Amino acid sequence: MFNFAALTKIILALIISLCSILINDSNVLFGLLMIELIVMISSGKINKIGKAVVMLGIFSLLLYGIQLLCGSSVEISLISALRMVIMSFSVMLMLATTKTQQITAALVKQCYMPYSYAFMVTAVLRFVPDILAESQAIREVQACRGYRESANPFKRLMEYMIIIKPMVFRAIERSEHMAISLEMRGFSRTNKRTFMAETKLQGIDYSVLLVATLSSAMLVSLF
Amino acid sequence: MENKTAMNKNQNEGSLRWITITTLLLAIGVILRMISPSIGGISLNWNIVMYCLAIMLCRPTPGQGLGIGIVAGLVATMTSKAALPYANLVSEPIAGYLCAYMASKRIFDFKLVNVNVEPAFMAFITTIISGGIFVTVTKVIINLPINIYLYAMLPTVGIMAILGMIVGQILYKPANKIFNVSNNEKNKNKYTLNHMNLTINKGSFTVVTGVNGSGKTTLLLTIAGARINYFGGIKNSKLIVNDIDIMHTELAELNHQVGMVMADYEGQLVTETVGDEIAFSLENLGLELNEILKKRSQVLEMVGLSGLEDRLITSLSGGQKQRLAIATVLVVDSSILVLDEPIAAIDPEGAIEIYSLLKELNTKYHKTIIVAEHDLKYISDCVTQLIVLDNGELKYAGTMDECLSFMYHSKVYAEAIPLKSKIYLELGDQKC
Amino acid sequence: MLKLKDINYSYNKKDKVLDCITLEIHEGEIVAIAGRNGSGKTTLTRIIMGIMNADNGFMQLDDNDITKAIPADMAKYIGYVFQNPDRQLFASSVFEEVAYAPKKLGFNGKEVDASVKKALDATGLTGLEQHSPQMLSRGLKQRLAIASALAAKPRILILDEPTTGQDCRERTILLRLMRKFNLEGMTIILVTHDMDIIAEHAHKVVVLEKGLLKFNGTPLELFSNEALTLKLGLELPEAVHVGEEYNLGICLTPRELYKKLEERNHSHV
Repeated sequence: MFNFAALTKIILALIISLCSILINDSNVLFGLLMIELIVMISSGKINKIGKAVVMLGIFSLLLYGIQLLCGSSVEISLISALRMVIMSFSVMLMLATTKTQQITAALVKQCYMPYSYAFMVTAVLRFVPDILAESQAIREVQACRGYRESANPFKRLMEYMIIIKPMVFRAIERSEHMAISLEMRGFSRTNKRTFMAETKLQGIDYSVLLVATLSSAMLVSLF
Repeated sequence: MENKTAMNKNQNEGSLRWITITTLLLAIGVILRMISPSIGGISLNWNIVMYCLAIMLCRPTPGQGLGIGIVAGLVATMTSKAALPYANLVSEPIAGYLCAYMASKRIFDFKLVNVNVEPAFMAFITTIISGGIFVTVTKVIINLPINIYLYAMLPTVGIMAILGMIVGQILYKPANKIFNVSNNEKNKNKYTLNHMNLTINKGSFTVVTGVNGSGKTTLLLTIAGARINYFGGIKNSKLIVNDIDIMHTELAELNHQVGMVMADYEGQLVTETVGDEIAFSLENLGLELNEILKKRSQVLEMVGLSGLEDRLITSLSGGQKQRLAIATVLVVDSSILVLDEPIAAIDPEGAIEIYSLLKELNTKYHKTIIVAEHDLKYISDCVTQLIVLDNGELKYAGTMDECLSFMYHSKVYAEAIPLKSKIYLELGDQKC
Repeated sequence: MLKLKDINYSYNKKDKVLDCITLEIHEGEIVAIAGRNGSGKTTLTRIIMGIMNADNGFMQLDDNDITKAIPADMAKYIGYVFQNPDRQLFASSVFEEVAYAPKKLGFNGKEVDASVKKALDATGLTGLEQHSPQMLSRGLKQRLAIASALAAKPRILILDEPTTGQDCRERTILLRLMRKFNLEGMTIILVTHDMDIIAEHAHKVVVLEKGLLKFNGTPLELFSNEALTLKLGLELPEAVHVGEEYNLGICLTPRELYKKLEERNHSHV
């Protein structure tokens, strides 16, 4: 059911976010939220993003509370909280149901983003687990040399500084090898580059987008 | 005999280092954000300090700065759990553009009490701009009360800016030193090769050995056609590999003919999955989808990784990652395969597997193999030529026995001689 | 003396990584821990150091129960040197790197300086105090990691595959250092794949296979039994192969080989 093109999902996320900004009726917003939750559950990805969903839910309640405290009306506070949650859920849903390669392919082929930048996005995500392992390794080394985590948050922050340095230096060293390797693999060739990920919009994509645009326009004009 | 010191006139022209350093620093930013303590759902945006640092190190054009900002914004949107993910897509590109502009014009490049304060100013201003736009956009779209905006969000941005200023100032100078170590003339000479006359025949299996620092990596990089401004280069030498005159061939052509697996093979793997990685090399060459799929499964079979297209690279073992790196160079049909210390961090079982794969590639698929290695016991049954380097010079090239004999008698890296050969040589001596 | 009794560890309570490990390590010994990849060697040392906690079992150092100890507690008794020097060094100067442990353990200013000086001397790094650790060669980085562990004045040193990625010259230097420390009284626990190192330097070797302790004895007992060695997934040291070829009997180390060759030459003359 979710085999839409990446671009479709991106546009859908944008449409629903735009709707939530333009609509000022908390009941309608609530309805949009329900639609999102239903989509989320039926996508089967609820395990992956369940925790984040709950955290955001809690955060939005907090937001609601803060708004009330600052003197806004119940309606406005509700709108505020709902808007936030709808927008972040739309992004989360889009990311959970689309492979990164598909997103970058869509960005380059259909949004005309230069390839270097799209590449950087996937590469950052690829190196995150490795660098996380490195940071944990350095923490372990420090522990083995007598480091105890202090209760004082300011001191803790200072201790974080000590990890950043070797990670940055290691990144600089590695950036050289990586640059050599990319160049040798023909990264800077200016000739046409192909993409394996499928990005073409099919019939179902167009229909879904049409339906979404029409219904949003209707909702916005009504409320 | 010619010099090959700089085939490109402008040292940094077309250099890809700005891409790689930004990528790695942003990845650090993501991690730091993950592990930093967060105050009320807002965590310090380390991304800003990191891309600011990257921009200061490589001084890209403002246009590139905008692109870097877009990347930072996309990454932040994809990885943060903040209230309004879209706000990053507005704040980071603007901040990135302005940061690159300030860096390129070196507006703050001056000293205060003998200390260059550019990093502090840059980090502070970039954070203020990025954070300021972020909270303003958030306030407007979510319709937050003005009190929170003025008394909680803006001050938080201020605190973040001060912290960013401190971090940027502390990190920049040492980082810059390491970043530019290859541009330093003194170091360049340390890594230059001299008087290297070497012929490597088609289909041969050549092993290069020598202490660390003797020039093995530099030699291999030269053969593979790596850009010279990353390392010292080579002088007064004649290198022929597979009838190709390395010193007089365009780098791009060398890249096509020679595939290299570097010592830091992790840094060569830049995509998420095994399949994507192999496809990456082919996508760069503009091949069509069917071709890519066909070649990919062929090469996965050659290296023994069939069926693992969807496996995440981070879940592979060291030996598997090595084989994947080999696969990425095989798939573009290079006839020459160069490897820099392939088994350095791998256990004996894995080492035997790698060398039997290399032997097969050499004998069955007729690839010319060049390997830099210390542990000579693995190569004895496949090596056709052994070379020993010392201090940037070629000391001897010949069959394994001849070279080991030379190493033994001239005491050049004699520590690497396998025990069996050493005994044989010593007995030989005694007989004489 | 370090005692381990019935140490068990599994990931997610499912895959057993260590199964009822019981062993004793006496003061002044060099004990090698060997085994295939995935046999649990590094996990065992991490549990000894407190980086990970065993699911159950008991650990004792002299008379102290260290079963639930954390690494910071163990730092003054055991120094841990990890495999990859690039992931071990984080200070801005060699001096700061080596001084980190003594400072964290509460040594006063003079004691810190003295132990740093001693550690740098012991590892041949005197004179490099102001250098940046990141700019050192790989061999020097590993020696710096060792110096940093030594500065806390531990009695036991755990070395996790210390010769990985080192060239042959640095390898010789590192092993010589290890031997020197041991002669001065340091107990060494060495995780390694290199059978030559075990044959030449270890007093005892412990072999793990799939988390079980399959052998605990001397290198001679292990390597003179070729069938057992191969069954445990290990290779024989090079000296043993060469000794067989020249019909010299079991020779564990190059030195033994040379001695036997000399004896044979003399007897021929």
